[in-house]
Amino acid sequence: MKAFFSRLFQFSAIYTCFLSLLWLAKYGMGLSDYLIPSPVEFLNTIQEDGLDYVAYSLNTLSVAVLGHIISILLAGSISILGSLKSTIGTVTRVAAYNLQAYPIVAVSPIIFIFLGDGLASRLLIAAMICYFPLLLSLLGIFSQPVEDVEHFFVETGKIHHRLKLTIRLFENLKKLLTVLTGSATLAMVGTIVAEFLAATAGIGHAIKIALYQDNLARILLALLLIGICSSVYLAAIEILGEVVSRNLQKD
Amino acid sequence: MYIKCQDLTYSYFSNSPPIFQGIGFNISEPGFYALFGLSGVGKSTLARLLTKRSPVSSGVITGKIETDLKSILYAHDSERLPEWIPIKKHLYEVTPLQNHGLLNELIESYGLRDVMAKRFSSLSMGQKNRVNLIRYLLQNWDMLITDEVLANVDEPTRYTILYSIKRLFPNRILLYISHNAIEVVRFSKRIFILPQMPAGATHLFEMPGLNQYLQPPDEKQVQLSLYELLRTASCGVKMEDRRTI
Repeated sequence: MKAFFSRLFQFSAIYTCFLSLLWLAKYGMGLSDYLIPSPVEFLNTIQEDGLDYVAYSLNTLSVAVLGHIISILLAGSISILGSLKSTIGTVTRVAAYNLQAYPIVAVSPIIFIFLGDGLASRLLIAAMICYFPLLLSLLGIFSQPVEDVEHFFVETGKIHHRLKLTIRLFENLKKLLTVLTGSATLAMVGTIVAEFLAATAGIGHAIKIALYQDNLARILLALLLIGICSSVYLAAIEILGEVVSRNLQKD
Repeated sequence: MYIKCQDLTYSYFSNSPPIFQGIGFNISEPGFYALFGLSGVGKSTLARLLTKRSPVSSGVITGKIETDLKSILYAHDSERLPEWIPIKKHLYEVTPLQNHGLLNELIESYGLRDVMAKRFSSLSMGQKNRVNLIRYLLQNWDMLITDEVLANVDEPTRYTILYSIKRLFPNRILLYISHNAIEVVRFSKRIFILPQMPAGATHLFEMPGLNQYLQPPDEKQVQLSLYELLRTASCGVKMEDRRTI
């Protein structure tokens, strides 16, 4: 729970600083309410649109979580293939390293053309955006021998691929957790980008509409909710990782 | 039962000077042997060259190694056990069924009974060394090369362990690598010395050890052997009573 409150506190501090600077600039330079909304207008927007925006944010969060899970499964499977010493492993590794250089956002219009502006497109883009960093990290983890632990099994002929992967995964648990947390942020980013580009639901879509209406108060509200959702999700992953790690190492 | 190395040369890279060159040795009967040398002379590299499963990862090797030994294992002191299971479970999993009785005996005599339920990371350095050694001893090996595997174990326990190895495995070859010169002199049947030379060792010297088992050797003899061992290892000067292979 410490991680949860710590993340929320960090975000609140940054968001408060950002709002303060914005209002400092507004009143310092005498900018109009049209350009930067006043605190009162911002509070009114929270009152009026708050519930709708919370629903949009939760919608985005659920797609991001699902996309993240899909990308973890996919990256896990591909990196297990890539860790093989055979030709399949080599081809997988080369393909993974080369493909990741291509920006996924550039492909997203094609995804919208083929899959439409519904859930499938948002899910796919979210999964693809966090998939490659995950894949590269997992490939690195699975390909790097942990000599100190593996030596005995190699010497005695007891080593097999599954044991090798288990050792490497366990020895890199902390690193893996950091990668998972980082990719969770990317999943949120991917979902919002997809919604912003062409989808018809989610907080990204709401931001797009607010942008067309030049309504900065709504955008600020969306940013607040995105930050809270991201913090909650990242903290949940950290807590889950800590619980798993503690249970595995319990005497 | 033999292992014979001839004219062995090793360099880390093709254009770098060799760590050792043209060295050789011959072991043709079971017993407790030692490989001694100062830090960085290439003891571990030489030991790894002898194993088939975890050879040195790179470098240029020339020479010949002949053996009729089916299983040569190499254990070193930096090894760790998997952390996801308790030590006891791991030891029982990796020990062949017919050796489970011996496993219980070694756990008792090496003073490890109280730590069996723990994870490897929560052990002291000495306990880690002992646990690691036990799992190797219980495998089916013909030759076991132990590289500083008792480095962090206290002296009385180390002596107990060395006695037990001699008692339990009289028909196998143990090559003991250690920086503890007194121990090497006392317990070894024969000592191979890789000397420190400016351009890498060109000889592997050999001297008899005192093969201590039930009776401790004469202390004067220990001192003399110790002097000879350290002198040979540090300057690589050939002495009259030493044979070059």
